[in-house]
Amino acid sequence: MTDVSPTLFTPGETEADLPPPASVLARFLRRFRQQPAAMIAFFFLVAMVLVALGAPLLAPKDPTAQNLRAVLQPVSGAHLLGTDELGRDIFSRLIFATRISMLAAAQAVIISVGIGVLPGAIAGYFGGIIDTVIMRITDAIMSYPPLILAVAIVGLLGPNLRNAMIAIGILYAPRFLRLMRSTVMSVREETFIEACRSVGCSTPRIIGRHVLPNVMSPLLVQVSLVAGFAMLAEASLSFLGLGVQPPQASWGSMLGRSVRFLDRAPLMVIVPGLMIALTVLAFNIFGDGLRDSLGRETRRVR
Amino acid sequence: MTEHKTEDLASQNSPRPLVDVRDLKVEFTLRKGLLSRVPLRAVDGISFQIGDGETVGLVGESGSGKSTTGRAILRLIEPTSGSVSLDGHSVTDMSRSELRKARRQMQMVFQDPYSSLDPSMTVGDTLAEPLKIHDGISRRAAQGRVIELLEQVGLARHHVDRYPYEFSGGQRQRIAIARAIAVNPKLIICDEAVSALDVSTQNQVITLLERLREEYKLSYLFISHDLGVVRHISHRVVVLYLGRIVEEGPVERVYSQAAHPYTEALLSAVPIPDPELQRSRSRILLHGDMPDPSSPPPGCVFHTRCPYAMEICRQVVPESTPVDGGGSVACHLQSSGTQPLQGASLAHLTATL
Repeated sequence: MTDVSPTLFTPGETEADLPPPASVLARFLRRFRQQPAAMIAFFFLVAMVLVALGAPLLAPKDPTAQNLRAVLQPVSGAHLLGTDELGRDIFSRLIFATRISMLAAAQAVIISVGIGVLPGAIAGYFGGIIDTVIMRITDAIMSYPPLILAVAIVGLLGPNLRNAMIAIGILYAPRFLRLMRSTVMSVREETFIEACRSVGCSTPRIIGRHVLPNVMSPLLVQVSLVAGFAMLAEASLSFLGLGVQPPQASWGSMLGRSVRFLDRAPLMVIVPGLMIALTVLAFNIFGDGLRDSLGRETRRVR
Repeated sequence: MTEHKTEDLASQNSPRPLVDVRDLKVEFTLRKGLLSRVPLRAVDGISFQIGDGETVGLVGESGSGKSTTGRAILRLIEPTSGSVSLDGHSVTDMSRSELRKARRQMQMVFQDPYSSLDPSMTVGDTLAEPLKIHDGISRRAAQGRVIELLEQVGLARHHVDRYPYEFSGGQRQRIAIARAIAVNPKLIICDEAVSALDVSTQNQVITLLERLREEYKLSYLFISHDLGVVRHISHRVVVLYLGRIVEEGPVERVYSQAAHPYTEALLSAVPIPDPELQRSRSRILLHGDMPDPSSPPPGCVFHTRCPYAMEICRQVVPESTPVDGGGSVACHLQSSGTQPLQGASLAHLTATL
């Protein structure tokens, strides 16, 4: 790095005089800040993560403490959002549920990205027999009805939240695989990939430096979508008793259990539902913001 | 025998050619129907040389194998057979890692400036990449050379952190050229490098290519269907038809005295910027399309469209014959007949028919 021959510079110029190349992070931040909706979504998600981390400090009551003499209470000073059918403080349960819902979504996304992205990129880049084998396995997974497969996996591994999320991660992996395959396939046909080869790039460098950055935007959008779906799938599995086990609660299980009391305590349904909806929305808007701030820059019509 | 002669001729032009292409063949496999596969010979045994500092134009209509030839020389497409050597080293025998190292000697500028630059990289990063690969220079340390390159192709230093979408087609092609010259190559293959640009931008880019040719002592293989542009920039020209060389020679000779009917037809299609001349001259219209390259016609590949086709053209493949004024041609009009007609002009030849 230091032994660059002096001929590389025009006379009278030293390296210090030259503007340094703009860093990737600086460029990303500049572009991300220009998007108010994405910024709001980002801060909302940060707030959710903080709530999840700080749940024991933030919750005013013990989320599992029952009080059968004060069930289905309306909003009051003692219970900000009332109580549920066992007399537990809904607000406190909601705060602790944030932790479980966020964790569940994160687990599922990490698992499906981990399983799907690399094989998909390989299938798309190399094609041929590798592609055929990988895609046939994917087709086999996708040919099962999703919920049945999840139930089967949870049945095999035992009913708890972690296993439910493994099941959901496996279920959503083909989405990433197919997405990566098709986007990598189209990027690989572009002239600039051939140009990279003619410059002398090795195959790993082409995949890492040129193909992946150019497929980041659809991938990030898919991550935010799957995070939302995972949250909903977790709710379904928890509703069936295959996910989070009582007395713990997630937003989904709170929603599932409270449907029966919709007429007497509507807040019990509305609040967790609202949290799911807002969080999924925030994931999507944040994903769009990421897509527009990373990788491929295009002319934008304002 | 005749082949021997052309080799001698080529070696006279330049004692040791920088690029020596010999009997290059490229075959693709074409799927026809469910199971049958048909070989398609895109490039069918072509040989030519490029000297140090020389620019060779490669012309022909679409589908004649021009781009395939360029890519096969760089081994962006693997040639089926034949050999390519660069500066005495056989490109076709190199291992993958040797080839990667050798790529600093031979670069390419592509047709479409809109897709040949990575849209998610800044111009600076794109230009620094070859320096990093071949010289191991870090991005930061390469900044000086990157700015120098930008200025050499007529862009400004503040363009370094911009993305390709912020530039016009001509500017992008300048960036692509800067990337190609970054590691001081000996050969640059320009594959329709100016075809996608409008005429005034074409001129600027060609002027730039000519200037860089002097500064960097470059050789070009200039692939184009635009004969006017080729005439302007090239020293020699090679005419391809259906993957074969039908004629080659110095630009002045080929453009003033085409020895092959196909070259003659191509040249008659070049517009003359003088309405009187343009109206008065006779154009040779070729009928039909180029034959299907997966089943080329026997004999001379051009006989299906040749206005002078004779019986022998349908049966015997014409051999390469030297032409007066330099170069060679593969045409029975020139190489057979009752008397030796070698190198006579076509007008003269056809008058005697």
